[in-house]
Amino acid sequence: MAQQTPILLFPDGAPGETEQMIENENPFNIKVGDLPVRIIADVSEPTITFYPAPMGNNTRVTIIINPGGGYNVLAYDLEGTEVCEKFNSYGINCVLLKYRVPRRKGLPKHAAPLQDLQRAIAYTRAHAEDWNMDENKIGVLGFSAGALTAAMASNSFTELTYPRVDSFDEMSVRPDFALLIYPAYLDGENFSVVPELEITKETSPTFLVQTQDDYKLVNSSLFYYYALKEAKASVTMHLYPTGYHGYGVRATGHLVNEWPDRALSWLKAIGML
Amino acid sequence: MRKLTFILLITFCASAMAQQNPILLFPNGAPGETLKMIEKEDMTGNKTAGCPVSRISNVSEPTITFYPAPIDNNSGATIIVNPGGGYNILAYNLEGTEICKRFNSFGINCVLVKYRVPRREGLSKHAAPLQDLQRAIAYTRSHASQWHINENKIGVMGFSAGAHLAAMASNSFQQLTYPAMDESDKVNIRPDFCMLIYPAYLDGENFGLAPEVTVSSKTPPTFLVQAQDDKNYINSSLFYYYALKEKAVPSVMHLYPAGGHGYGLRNTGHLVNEWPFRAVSWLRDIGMLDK
Repeated sequence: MAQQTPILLFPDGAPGETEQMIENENPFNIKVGDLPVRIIADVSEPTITFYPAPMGNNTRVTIIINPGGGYNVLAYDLEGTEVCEKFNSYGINCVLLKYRVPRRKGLPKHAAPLQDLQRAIAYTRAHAEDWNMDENKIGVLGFSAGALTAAMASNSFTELTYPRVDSFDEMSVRPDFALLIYPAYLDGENFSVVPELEITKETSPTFLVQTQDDYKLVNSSLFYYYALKEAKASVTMHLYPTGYHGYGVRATGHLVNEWPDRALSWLKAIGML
Repeated sequence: MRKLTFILLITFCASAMAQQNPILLFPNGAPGETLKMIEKEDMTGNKTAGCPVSRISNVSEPTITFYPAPIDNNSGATIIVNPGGGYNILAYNLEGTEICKRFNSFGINCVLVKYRVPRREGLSKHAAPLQDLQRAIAYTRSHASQWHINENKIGVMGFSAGAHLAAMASNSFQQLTYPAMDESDKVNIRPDFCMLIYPAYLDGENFGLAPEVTVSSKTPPTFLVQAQDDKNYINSSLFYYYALKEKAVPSVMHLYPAGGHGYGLRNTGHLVNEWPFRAVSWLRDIGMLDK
C-alpha cells in the first residue's frame, strides 16, 4: 500500500445528507478469483484516497476510480484499491472515490454519486500541482454502476450538480478521458442510450470493455459506442467472448483479464501517455 | 540517404515466398463463365504504408494457393483468406499474400482465394465470389490429411468486401451455391471460425443486417476488427456483432480509434495494426490453436 489518508470531499456534510450513516463492511460475502471481496455499504461521507504513482515512474497521468456495486454497495478492493495499485505500477496516479451508497430515496440512482465524482474531479484538478500530476491528463474509470457515474461525468461537465463548496470548484470537471469497464445501465431501446446521457462531440474520449456473456449488460457498451460514434466523439471498444461481470483486475481465467494492457495502449494512442 | 531509403523499402516491401502452385477451383470453367478474361495486375495505384498494392482485376478462373505453416510449427489450424477490393478488384498482396505469410509465422496454414472480380452483371455482387469461396472450403477440407491440416479447424478471413464474402460463407453453408463437381463437394463447407477485418456491406436498415446476411445460432464463432474513422463501414461490425450476440454466437469485437480502411497488416502507425495479435489470442481462446 502506498495510498495517502482519505480526504473528506464535503467537509461540512455532503449535499442533501441529513444524518450520518454508520459505514458497514462486508454485509455479505462473495469471492472473485478465489479471493474474498471487500464490500462497503452505507456511505454518507464520501471520500477520495490518493494513490500516487511511484516517484521514479510518474507519467503525471491520473485516473479517478469508481468501484461498482449497483449503487447499493461498493466492491472496494476488487474494483478500487487493487485497480489503483495495478495502474500505479504503470506509472499512473490513481484517486479512489468512495461515493455515497445505497441509492437515495427520491433521487435518480446516480445523483449523489455524480455529485461526489464531480467534486472528486474538481478537488483532484485543483491539487494537480501539489500532487505532481498533469491537470490536463485526469480521467475517470468506472466498473458496472461506477461506469454509469463515469459516463455521466463525461457528458455532464458544463455545470456542477452540487452547490459550490470552495475555490476548488472553479476548476473544469470535464474528464480528459473515460474508461468504462463492464458498464451497466447505459442502454435504452434499439441502439439508444438512457436519456440522462447527453452525448456530444465534447464527450470525453472513451474506452469500453465488456464480455459477450455479461448478461444483458453488453448492450450498455454497444449502444454507448454507437451514440459516441454518431456524435463524433472518440471511442474504442473491446468486446471479449467470456468473463461475466465483476472481475476487476483479478485473474479469473478469461482472455478479458488482459484489459489493462488494452487500456494502456489506448492511453498511449490518444496521447495521454 | 536516398540509397539507404531505397534499400529499406525493398527490404520491407519485397517478400520471400513459401506458397505452392495455384490450384484452379473449377478445372472445367467456373459456373456461369462464358468467356475467359485476361487477368490484369496493377501495381501503380495508391500505396499503403509506403509500399505498392497489387490490384488484380478481370479474374474469371478463380484459384486457391496453399501457404503451409512451417513444418516444425504447424498448429493444424487453417485460414482461408479473402482479399478485399469492393468486388471489383483484389488487393492481392496487401490483403492476401502478406496475410498468409504473417499467419504462417504463427504456425497457421493459409489458403489464399483469388475469387472472381469484377461484379458480374445480373448477379448479386457476392454471388460468383461465394461460389468460389465455398468451393475453396470444400477443396481445402477434402485435402486436409494430404495438407497436414486439421479438418475441424478451417476458418475464413476477409477484408472489406472479402469480409462480406466470409460472412456470407459463415451463414450460407447449408447448400452449395454451385453445381457439385467431384468428391470434394461432399464435405461440410461450414467454416469453423470467421474473422472479419474492416468489413463492408454487412449493415442494413434500422440497426439490422443486409438482407442476404442471415445469421443463426449455427453461425461460426466470429472475430471483428474495425476503426472508428472507417467512414460508414463501422456499422457493419456493430450491427453484425449485435445480430450474432442476439443469436448467442460466440463473438469478439475490437474497435480502434483510428486507422481508416485498407491497412491489411502493414504498419500504418495506428494502434489497430496490433489486430493480428488479438486474432491469435482469440484463436487460442476458442481452442483453435491447441495442438
